[in-house]
This record gives sequence, C-alpha cells and structure tokens, in this order.
Amino acid sequence: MPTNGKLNILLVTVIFILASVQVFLLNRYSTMGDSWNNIDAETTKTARENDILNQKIASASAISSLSARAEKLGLVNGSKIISLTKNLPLAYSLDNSL
Amino acid sequence: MIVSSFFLLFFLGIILRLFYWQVVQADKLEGLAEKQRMTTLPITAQRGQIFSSDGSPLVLNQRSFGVYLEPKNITDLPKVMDILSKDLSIPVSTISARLDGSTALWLPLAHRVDENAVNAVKNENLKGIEFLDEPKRYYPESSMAAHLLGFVGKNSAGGDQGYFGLEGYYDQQLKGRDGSLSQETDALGNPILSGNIEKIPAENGRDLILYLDKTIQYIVEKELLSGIQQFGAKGGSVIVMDPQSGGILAMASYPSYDPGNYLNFPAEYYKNPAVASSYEPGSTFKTLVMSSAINDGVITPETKYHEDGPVGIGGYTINTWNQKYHGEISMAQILEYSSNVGMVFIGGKMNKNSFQNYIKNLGFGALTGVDLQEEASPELRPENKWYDIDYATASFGQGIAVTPLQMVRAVSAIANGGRLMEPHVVKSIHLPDGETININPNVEKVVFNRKTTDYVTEMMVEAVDNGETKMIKPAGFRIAGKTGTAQIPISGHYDTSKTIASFVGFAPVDDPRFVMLVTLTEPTTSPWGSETAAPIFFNISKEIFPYLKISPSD
Repeated sequence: MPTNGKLNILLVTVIFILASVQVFLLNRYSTMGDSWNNIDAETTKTARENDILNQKIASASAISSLSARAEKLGLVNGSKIISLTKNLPLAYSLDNSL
Repeated sequence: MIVSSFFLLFFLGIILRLFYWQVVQADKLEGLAEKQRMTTLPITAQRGQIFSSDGSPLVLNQRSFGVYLEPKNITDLPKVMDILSKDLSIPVSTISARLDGSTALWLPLAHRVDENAVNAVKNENLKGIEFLDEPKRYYPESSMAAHLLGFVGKNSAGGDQGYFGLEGYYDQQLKGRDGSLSQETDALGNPILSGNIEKIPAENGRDLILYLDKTIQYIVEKELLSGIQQFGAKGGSVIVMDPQSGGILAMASYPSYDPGNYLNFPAEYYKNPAVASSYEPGSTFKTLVMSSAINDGVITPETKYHEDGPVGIGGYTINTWNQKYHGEISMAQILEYSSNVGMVFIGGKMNKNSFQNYIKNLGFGALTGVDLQEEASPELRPENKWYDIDYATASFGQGIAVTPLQMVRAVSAIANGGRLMEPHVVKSIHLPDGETININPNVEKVVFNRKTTDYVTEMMVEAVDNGETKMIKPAGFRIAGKTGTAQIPISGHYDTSKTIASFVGFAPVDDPRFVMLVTLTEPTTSPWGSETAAPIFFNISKEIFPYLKISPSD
C-alpha cells in the first residue's frame, strides 16, 4: 500500500499531466482560427466559382445564343409543318341530330 | 510621523484610483475590451433569383464591386488615375474632378464594377484604392422581358431596391435579410474558435418561378419588333395569357430597355405600357358587348338587324367604318363586318345599368391585381355622366379607355367559359429552406354562362374566317379573333390619321391554350388592325402552334 506521501505525489503528477494536456489542446483549438479562415476562404472561392459557372451555363443556354448558333449552323424555321393527325375530341356531345 | 502619513495618503490614492478604474469605469472598460477583441462582420443576404416556367434563369446574381478611393493613401496620383481610367473605363477628368479639393477619407468612384476589371486594378498593387462587394443582377437572356422583370437600383439610403415589374412588386421577398457574425479574434484578426461566437444567419431572398414561357416570349418579341418596323409603328405590345389559369405566358412592349443598363435608357421606357398605359380598344370591344347582350338575353344569335345606313344618336351620326351597309344581317355578321351601327343596335337593346355593370364585372376601371409594380387603371366615366352617345360609342369600343391587360383578361373570359381570372406573372415562390409557395389560379367572378361564350366564340371564328383577315389566317386552325382600329383622342377630338391597331384572339377554339392581344401604336403603312396587328398575331400563332403541339383541326 503506497504511503500517503507517494499517493500525493502521484495525484499531483496526474493533475499536472491532465492540466498540461488541457492547456495544450485548448491552445491548439484557440489558434486554429488561421486554418478556419483558410477553409472559409476556400469554401467562398469555390462557391463563387460555382456562381461564375452557373452564369456561363445560363449564357450559353440563353435562347438568343442558341438561335444565333442555330442560324450559323444553317438551321432555319420550318416553313411547312405536317401534322399526322388532327386534334381529336375526348368525347362528342349527343344532340337531336344523331 | 510625516513620512508614515505621506505613505498612507499615497497608498490611499492608489486604492482610490484602482477603485475608480475597476469599479466606477468597469462597464466602460469592459465594453472597450470587448470591442477590441470582438469583430462583427455582416453576412449579406443573396437577392432572390427569377426563373421562367421551365426553370431557366432570367435573373441571376453576379459578383461585382464598388471602387473607393482613400486620397490620403494615394502615393502616385497620375499613375493611379491612368490605371483606373484604363481598367474601369472612367475618363481621367471624372476621377480628377472627384478627387479635386476633397478632404474626405473615403470617396466612392464607381459602383457594380465587374470582377475582371477589379482584378486588373488589384494586380497593379496600387495604394489608396479599396473594393467592397456590391453584387449586381445578371440577365442571361439580355433584355428579354425587360418590362416584366424591372430592375434593381439604389434607394435613398444607398441600399438595393427593385423598381418596376417583378423586382419592384416582390422587392421585400427578393431582398431577404442580412445577418451578422460576431466573434472573438486574436491580434492577427483570426477567429478564436473557443471564444464567443454569435451568429445571426442571413436569410436569403426568395426565388420566383414564373408562368412565362421563354420560347413564346422570344417568338413574341421577335415578331413584334419585326411588325413594328414593317408597319412603321411608334410602338406596340403583345400579351399572351393562359385563359384557364390567368398565367402570363409572354408579355412584350416596344420601345423597351436593357434592365442591366437601365441608366442608358430614357426613364419613360421603364413603365410597362401593357399594364400602365391606356388606349381606346375600338372594335375588339365588340366581342364583350356582344357577349354581355347575349348573356342578358336581350338578343340571341338568331336576332336580325337591318343595316340600312348611318344612325343618329344625341345629335351625332354614327357610320360603319367603310360606309358599306348590308341590309338584313345576323349578329354574327355584325362582328364579321365589324358594324358600328349594328353594335349601337345591340348596345341600345341592353338596360343601361346592365351595360355599365358588365363593363365593371369584366374588370374595367379597376386594377386587375397582376403582380407587377406599375399597374394602373384608367377611371370609368362616373355612372351619372353617361349619355346616350356614350353608350353608343362604348358599344364599339370608343369613348372608353382600357389597358391592354384588362382587355386580354376580359376576352379570356370568353375563351374559358365565362370566368374572369386574376392575371399572374409568378407561378410559385421558392423559399431558401426548400419550401415552395404555389400561387393558385384565382377566379374573380363568373361573368358569362357557357352557352354565351360558346356562341360568341363561334361568331369570332366566323369573323376571322369570313372577315378582313380571312386571307392571312393560318390554314387548318380554328382561331377566334377580332380586329380593332381605334382613333386616338387628342385634345377633345379624334385624330383620324392616327390609330391604335389591335387584334385579340384565342386558339385552339375547342380547348383554348392561349389568348393573345396585339396592339400597335400609330402604324403608318396602314391604320387598320386587319392589315397590321392581325398579321403579327397570326405570325406568332403559326410559331406557337407546333411549339405547343397543337395540330390543325380542319
């Protein structure tokens, strides 16, 4: 059975070690602001790049752009459209003529 | 003794001073310390974006910057002015004038500058120039639907504000709400993660999804512009509406402007004439008077009229537009020949109160409730100021002022079986959290019964098939329509040389998918609606039919 003196030394040592670990971890955590800023900046940069790409997609798919490109490729408006069927009614109404 | 007293007083002084700083000034010092270690950053809310019915973007947000000068920090003024002038396209004289004699620490130079131009300036590493985020709107379709969209300008406090159209009407919903982030920072400005962080997240603006069909809008704008040039008109407008829902499928007016560069256009172009300007509808109004009279039972489709010559009303003489009189004609032929005297007969059959009630029930003289900021409505003549001649002229669409939107909405009531729909541009609103608010179609009132609208629809089909437009209508399609040519009132009389030419119609008749109104202001090649507005209507219809997969029925 360790004596009271040795027990006290052990306790003090453990407390000292735990306190040191706490200080170390807290210090690391508190000074991670720089890394946080970098991650935040990267996120913002990626979001902005997404916005720019969205705008480019929107511009490229704009109807005026597509129309101009179609004209350049030689596509023209259809002058004659042939329908294979007429619009058929869903139902006929009964009247005295039938 | 003296020395002890001296030390006693000295330490008493220290204690009192400590008490002063640690107790009396405690709150103030705590505040200063907090201010020093706490940084508050605004979190700017993103303005809501606007999309067409198929989800294509019409209005997006784009990153841009405000450029500011700090005159005290500028070291090489001529070089700074040269570079700013080159990269930002601002005259050197303008920059010089801004700086000349100014004692301000912070001078705005330019707003909403593109990122590319700002990066070019940043690369020069000049002192005394700062940049602040100032997002701006981006229009991938350029100036398409400018009048519908409106634009974003500045308010008196320098903040963003929407003006006209949707940007103006839905400004509060589009704006969102800025947030803020307060956090403890170290000496280098980096956040202390284990410290106090208070965040109020920004609430981004809501996105708008429209009824507007991008393809139909493109077709409408192309054909309207072409028609205005071809017929030498001062301007014109087209509205295409879904009669079942009241949704606006397309709306265009010229002259127009570019909402991305609105400052380069006259301010009078900003207002949407389709909802804010009035005109006398002329013969297109006959369809509504005909419907009202049949609905009231004062005439039937079998009623006959003897069109023998001009009629006199209250000291005035009313003629047909072409001085031709056809003898005994049917009600359908009154529309087919667009007979003014025939319409006077029909209008005269109606009870005067009933006549006025139908005009009000069809929404004239009041706002339609469309979700566009600048909507206006001309007032109707007061009830006790209607004389016989006023009823007579109103029966063929003169002496009464309407907006194009009021007119197309009223004719929609014929197309959809008698229901007056509340027109809407926005179909749904998307919230930032993913929720969607649908704006459901709203039937304001039922004005006509089904039988009435069926009769008048067939009359309008005959008017197109047998009237002035029979040679130009698309073959194989049943289109209900009516031409209109209204003289423009100027200083109390009508100018016979200036007209508003119009055509209103809907198709396909058996299941109307769209109602369209075309108006041209002062066409010069011909004053007649049948020769100017009608061809534009049919050209647009010819392109819309295959797009909407509408087959010919004949």
